[in-house]
Amino acid sequence: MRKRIRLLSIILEILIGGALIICGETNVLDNYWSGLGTSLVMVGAVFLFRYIRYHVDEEYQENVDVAREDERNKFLRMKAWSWAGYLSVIGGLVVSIILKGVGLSKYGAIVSIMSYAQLLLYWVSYMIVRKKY
Amino acid sequence: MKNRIEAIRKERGIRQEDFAKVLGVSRQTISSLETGRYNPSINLAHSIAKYFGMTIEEVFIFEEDEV
Repeated sequence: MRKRIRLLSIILEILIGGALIICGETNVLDNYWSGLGTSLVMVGAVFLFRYIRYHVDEEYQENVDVAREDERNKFLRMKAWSWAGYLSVIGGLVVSIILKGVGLSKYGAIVSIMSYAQLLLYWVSYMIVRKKY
Repeated sequence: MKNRIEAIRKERGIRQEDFAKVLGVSRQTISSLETGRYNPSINLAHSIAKYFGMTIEEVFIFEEDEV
């Protein structure tokens, strides 16, 4: 069931991407949407290739399964997200100060609000995770 | 936390790849465990000790100052 949902979601992604490209090319929608469609088709094609390879190549399937379930990989993924979160917040605050410094206060405020929103998101996530574990 | 995984594994002539396969982890995980860069979960530590037919304390060296 999960496999079928995964395959259907990939096919749907490609079809939506294709539809957006056609709409963009026929001027029903602007170029932004056809660009998004191209990205969807390309990402969908990569996912489809990996999906097919996973179900055809046993060695690849085994490697993917081990990589997915490997506890160090899980730890590394969490660590990487954690670093990405820190860098995103700190980077956002630095950028907002720079923007303020060059007279773009409005954009600086938007960027700093986004950084604070991430901190709020972290706090909410922490509260949820604390209850769960 | 130090461990004797590499010494025991080599003593028994087990390749990292084979050891990783038995434990259901990647070869890189075995390598990281052996060099002490990564400390295993209690479940993995238990599986390793069980595979060697030893206790966790015989494989992993717990140091007081790590508390």
